[in-house]
Amino acid sequence: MSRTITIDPVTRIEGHARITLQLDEHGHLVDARFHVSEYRGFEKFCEGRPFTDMAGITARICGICPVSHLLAAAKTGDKLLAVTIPPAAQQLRRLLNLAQICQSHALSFFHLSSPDFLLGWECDPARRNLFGLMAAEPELARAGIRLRQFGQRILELLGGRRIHAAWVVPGGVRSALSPEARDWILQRLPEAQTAVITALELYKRLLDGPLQREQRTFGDFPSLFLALVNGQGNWEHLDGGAEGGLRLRASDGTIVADRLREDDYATFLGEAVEPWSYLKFPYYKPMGYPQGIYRVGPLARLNACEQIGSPWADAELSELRQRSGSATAGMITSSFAYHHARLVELVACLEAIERLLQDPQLLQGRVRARACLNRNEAVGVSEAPRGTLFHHYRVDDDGLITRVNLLIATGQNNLAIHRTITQIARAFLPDPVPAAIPEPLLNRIEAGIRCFDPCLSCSTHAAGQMPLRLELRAADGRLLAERCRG
Amino acid sequence: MIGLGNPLRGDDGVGWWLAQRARRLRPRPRVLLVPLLTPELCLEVAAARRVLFVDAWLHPQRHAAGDDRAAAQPQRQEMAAAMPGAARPLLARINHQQAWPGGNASAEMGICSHQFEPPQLLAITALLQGEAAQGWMLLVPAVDFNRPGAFSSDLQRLLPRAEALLRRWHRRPTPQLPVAASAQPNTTAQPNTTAQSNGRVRGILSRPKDCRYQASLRSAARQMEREDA
Repeated sequence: MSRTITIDPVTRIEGHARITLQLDEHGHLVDARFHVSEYRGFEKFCEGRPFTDMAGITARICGICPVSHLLAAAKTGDKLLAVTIPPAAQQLRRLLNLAQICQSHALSFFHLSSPDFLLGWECDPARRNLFGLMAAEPELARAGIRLRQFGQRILELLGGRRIHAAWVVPGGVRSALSPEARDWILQRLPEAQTAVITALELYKRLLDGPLQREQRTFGDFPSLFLALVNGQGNWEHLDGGAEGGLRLRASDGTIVADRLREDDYATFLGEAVEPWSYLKFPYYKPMGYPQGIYRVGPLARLNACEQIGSPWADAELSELRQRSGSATAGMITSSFAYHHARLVELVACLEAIERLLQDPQLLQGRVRARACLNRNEAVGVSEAPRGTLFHHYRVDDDGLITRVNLLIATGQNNLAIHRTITQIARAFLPDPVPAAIPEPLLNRIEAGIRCFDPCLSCSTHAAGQMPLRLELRAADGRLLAERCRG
Repeated sequence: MIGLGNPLRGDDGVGWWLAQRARRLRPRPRVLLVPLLTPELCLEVAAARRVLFVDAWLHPQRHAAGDDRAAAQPQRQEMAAAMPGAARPLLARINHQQAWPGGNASAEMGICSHQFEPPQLLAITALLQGEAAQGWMLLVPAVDFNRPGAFSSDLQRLLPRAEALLRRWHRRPTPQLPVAASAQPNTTAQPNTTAQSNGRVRGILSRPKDCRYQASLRSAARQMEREDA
């Protein structure tokens, strides 16, 4: 008798999803599926709008990472105008993206994921949340809140508001950074660094102890890793420049493709569709579907790059590779390491922010290049907190959008999320699967998804919302057991 | 004063509009305009003695018509049901003890993500900073969410009363500033000990179920109806 287990909704992710575990007639796990049933339709309703509106419109896709869409849309707009943006604008965009990554990673680690690490998988979900974290680790909770506030405040200082600031525009940015704002950021940097040190020390302690099994079983499999790198092959978050570009690296450390241009993305990335989810399944075309599975995001960025390029972050990256990477190439294949990678990236961001603020170019000169429409098609790319983000527009001669394609980080991790939850279910589900599903198993499956910090609001732009229901169904469709949240 | 809402969604912008109007009051309150409540706002709330959240809620007529927003906002749905035909702005006292209505799943999702209800924000402030500000909520019935930058005529008729409630709240005596909440927004507040926080969290999580946000709002609505009568 085959059965289906459904977990619905999945909590503590941005948006909602449902998971089903399909069992065969002997009760053994056959497959795991991550369903996204939210539909948003941005790609369609942007048609007919001026391309200059795209930054403002697409930023509304998400309240957590609007900056990522702003940047990708503006970079696409730069290409449609065929302009090189002023150096100060480039630096200011970089500062904005670094602040965005800081606040998003702080939210993911401190608010969404650390309750799992610190309160235990057996803890009642009603207490395994931010409140519970405050009770167990008030210092950590406070540090996380202030770190996120630090990132949000930088966004506000630059764009005038914390969410949906239409400050980045095709050709540059709307306004310069004031010296007072720069001084405020510099003054708060040490506290932000202390918060990250606290989190890193805590996480490493947990990794040496109670999290060892999770590190081994939460999505540890070979795959490709896609990310931007700069001209030296180092960590990059916005623009690799003329010498840099997109890099695909395999789990054995081999560079599969390097310096790929975003304009050619459709030649090397395919987008498969499955009837049971609105979330697309991107894959690396030369390897086919689904063999062309690849991961994006913090772990992919750290696997793709040679090094980060700043001392503290490089030391942390080296330790991460030593702890979790392969002996030969230092490649990290466990999806659980996304959490550690986020902390290393927080270090990288804080160092990069400090470096940027000391650059006199940041406050000097023009911040916007102006031009008319000079091209009818362009692709922009940026590294969002959750991974590589592509915006592809076609416009008519009046600059009105005729076609939009958005390739979002969570979508690109879709295949990896499936493989991760399947692996977790195999590792933690008794075989054969009992009629009553233990709560800690649900928690781990959910936590496996949270490794990727998925943002379904972003990734279901084309068509996909779901809150966690777990159902045990007999082959004839009878409901045998159910657990529901939300 | 925290104005909540989205001015691009017609009547949903009334929270921002009223909070902006409050900038004319003397003494001038600190005004924040936000689309949603996020945890880091507790750092701002910690510096206040009183905080007023100003937001829109669904008009009973729309509730009766089966508006999907009502389905997504049970709090507003309950209020609408509690006040049939009484479409009026509401000023209600709220507190951090209403943050955890029975430990149910929807509360967990709200607390764990980036979007809080006002009592949850007050609770986080209380947990991390020692004391929460005195909390109030001003809710204005909203009708039309499809006219960016413009209010419906129904809502416009309610604005004078909403402003009067705003001024009434502003005239209320300000409570003493709690010692542990005296930090300025951008300073590092002194942490509580783990044991203190543990005790406080247990206290909040074990509150009886009758400490409900919705019940409090309904009670305030009935009180205001009596005052009007």
